[in-house]
Amino acid sequence: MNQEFLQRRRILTRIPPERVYEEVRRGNKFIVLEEDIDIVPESYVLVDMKYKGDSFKTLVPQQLLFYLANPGEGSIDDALENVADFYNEVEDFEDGAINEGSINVQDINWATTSRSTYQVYLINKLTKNGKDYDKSVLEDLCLNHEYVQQRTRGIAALILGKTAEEIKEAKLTALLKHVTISRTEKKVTENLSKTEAEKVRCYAGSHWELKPEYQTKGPEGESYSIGPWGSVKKTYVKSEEIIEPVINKQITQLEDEIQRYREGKSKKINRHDRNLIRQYINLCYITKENQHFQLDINPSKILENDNPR
Amino acid sequence: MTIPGRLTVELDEQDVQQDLHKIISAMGLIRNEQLTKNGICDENKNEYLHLTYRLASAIGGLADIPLLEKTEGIFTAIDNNPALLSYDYLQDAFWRNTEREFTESLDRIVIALQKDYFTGLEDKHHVFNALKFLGSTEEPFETRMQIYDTILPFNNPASEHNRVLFTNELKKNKISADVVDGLTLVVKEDKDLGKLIKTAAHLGFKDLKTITDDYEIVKKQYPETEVLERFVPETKLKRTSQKLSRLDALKSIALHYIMGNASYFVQKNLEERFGEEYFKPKSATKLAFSVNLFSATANLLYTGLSYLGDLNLPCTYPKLAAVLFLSEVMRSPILLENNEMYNQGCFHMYNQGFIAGNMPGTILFSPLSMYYHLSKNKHQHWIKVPLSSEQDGDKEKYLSRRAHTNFIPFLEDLAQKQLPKVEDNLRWALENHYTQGNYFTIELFKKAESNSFKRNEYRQRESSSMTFYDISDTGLYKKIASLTCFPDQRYVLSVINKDSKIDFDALTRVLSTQKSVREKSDEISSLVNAEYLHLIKFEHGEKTDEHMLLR
Repeated sequence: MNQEFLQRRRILTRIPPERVYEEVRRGNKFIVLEEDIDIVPESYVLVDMKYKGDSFKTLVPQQLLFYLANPGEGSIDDALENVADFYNEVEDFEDGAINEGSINVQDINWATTSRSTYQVYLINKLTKNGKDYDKSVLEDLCLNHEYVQQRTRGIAALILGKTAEEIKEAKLTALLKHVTISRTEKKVTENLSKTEAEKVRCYAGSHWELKPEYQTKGPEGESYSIGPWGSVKKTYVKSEEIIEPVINKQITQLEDEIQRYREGKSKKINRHDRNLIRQYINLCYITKENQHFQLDINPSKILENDNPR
Repeated sequence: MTIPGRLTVELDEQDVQQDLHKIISAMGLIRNEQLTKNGICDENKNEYLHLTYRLASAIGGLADIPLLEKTEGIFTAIDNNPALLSYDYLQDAFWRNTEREFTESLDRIVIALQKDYFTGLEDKHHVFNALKFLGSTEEPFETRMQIYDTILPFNNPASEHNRVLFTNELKKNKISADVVDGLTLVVKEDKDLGKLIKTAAHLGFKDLKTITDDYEIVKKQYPETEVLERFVPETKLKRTSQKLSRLDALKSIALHYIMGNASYFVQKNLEERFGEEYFKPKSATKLAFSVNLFSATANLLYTGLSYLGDLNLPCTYPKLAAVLFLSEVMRSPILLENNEMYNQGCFHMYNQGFIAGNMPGTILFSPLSMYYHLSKNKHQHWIKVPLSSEQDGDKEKYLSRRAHTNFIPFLEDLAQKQLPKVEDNLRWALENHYTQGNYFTIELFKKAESNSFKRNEYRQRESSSMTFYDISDTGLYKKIASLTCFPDQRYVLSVINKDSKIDFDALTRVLSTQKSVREKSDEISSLVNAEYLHLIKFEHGEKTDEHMLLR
């Protein structure tokens, strides 16, 4: 009886099907509607996106819609969480479309809007009033630590295609290893003062002799000999090397090093931290030089220890 | 703020166009990062596929009949040559020679899609991937999956679809190479570097990894070259040491005996080159010393005995034995004790580790010693040469340069500025012969901010106009953005063409006529040979007309 009543009610007023209710209960943020509904679940908004007569209806949380419509406003942490979750769910929907080989113009608007909104909130998180960097956030991300600074500058240098010489000039030693190009060895003789020799009386009168400490070879194979009038010569093999700096790190390695360093400093690792650091590198070093070489900010990236989607 | 329970959003082509630029830009960032890493991680592959799907959706939403006609040529080319599925912009030089129609169609599609936002031909890679996605929608699931496998931030010339093609090209140029490590061509030979660079750049490799024995000269010739590590050659010497390892004990002893007479320097070099397990200089010296001293002493005793006893025994070259005996006596202090004097002796017989040669051995093996001296400091090294299309030497440039993003909104803002006080400054008169347009320019650009707009000026007295323009060179194509100001009238123009020279005199004359915007567009298009043209007219600060043209 109850089922029959519900069915009749569904026909009269288009109630969301069970699947939609289930998704609402789970707190999903991007619920695609296959057919129109009259009753919109509480705290959700039904957005009907139309393009050239085609309609694409979705249920999205009111709060999320606020963040997407007003990038930068409201609670930054909450916005980052919500927008990243939303982007992940949009990608889930896209997985289905890719699998089926279909396209959807309206979906891309959701995806690109959430992608750019996420980046705005990252900037807001890093800065105060969009201008000065928030020192507490920088400290939390260890961005003002010399170790991390070496690596963030290194990532920028790599993405901007800097050469090993330029990196060496910028004193980014963490990125470099050194390779010996050639080695030359030559015998060098140096004249030393007389103090290394001493006069010894003998049956023929006197002569010069080396002091006892110079009579054996030195630690690096240097030897001493006596010349005329007690002058002392030091002889050794001098090797000269030409050493070239070589880039020895990749962006991912440097990012991993930063994370390990932060873990070592007992910092809590948040799912947005990698993107925050990337955004900081973009703002601080890359955009000034070449905006086409910025690091990609992908909201769907999650940490290994995060709950899988 | 109250949010209604139901919202309707109407998207127009402008919105989709904006999304398209954002998507291409994101794809470009992923590509650049992966090229820097010279490898693609699964996470980025997945994100790139999603962006490709979005770009395909945007193209699908914007496609009109002329655009669809252009894409047909692309699909036909893929059907005829499936190797094109692995096309990458880095291979553009190669494909421009072999599939000219395909690459030129793709050029036009990118320009048609991006219009004022066109920044360079590298975006062809992303647009082509999106076209592959669009073309695969009707295909069966398995075929689609195979096509998706080729949708990557960058494609390797050695990938499955075009491996044979590229291997043949390398063979044709007599290059035996292992394509490993992403987009790096690895050649384990010290070949003509200039030829290698040219071929590798032409085929679409990003870097060349090869060996050289004179890094410093290469570095002077190609300053971007980087040394990677020391190269240990598998040359004759390496093979010789393998042969040495197969020598039986008797032959090995003979080798040690002969070389034990050579100088310290020669013995140490043999050890370095063959390896300590095959040649032990200390043992060789001791062996040669003991055998020589014993045999020379025995010989002298035998000769003495023969002479004294008048035994008339056969001759045994006593002079040679005497020389050998003396030589061994001379080097004996080095072997018996760590004597100082031999360190500075005339034979340069270093006493480090009791390795020394005798006089005849030193003289006999002096050519070998000289050879080792000459080649000692020439180590071979692995080097990496970053490649660019410039090194390909092709006349048609398709460099990976980027034009400005889009100056049209900036120029539109300027065109809308009302400047009644200085408007007359545009008109030429005898009294402002030297100042015509100067005050106007100052007022126009006051508080106008665009970091990248490289302002060039063209003044035309007859038409009382000032033109401000920026020309970006993306390699094969030039992108021009200009604002021409007449009294109370402005024209914003965006052009993409192949010509490097624009006749602004003729262009301003066309704009100064009384013809319609459409007619002016047509005339300018033929004047500058435009692939794309966008002309916007403003009167008294208001947009009154605009026209867009695509070849």
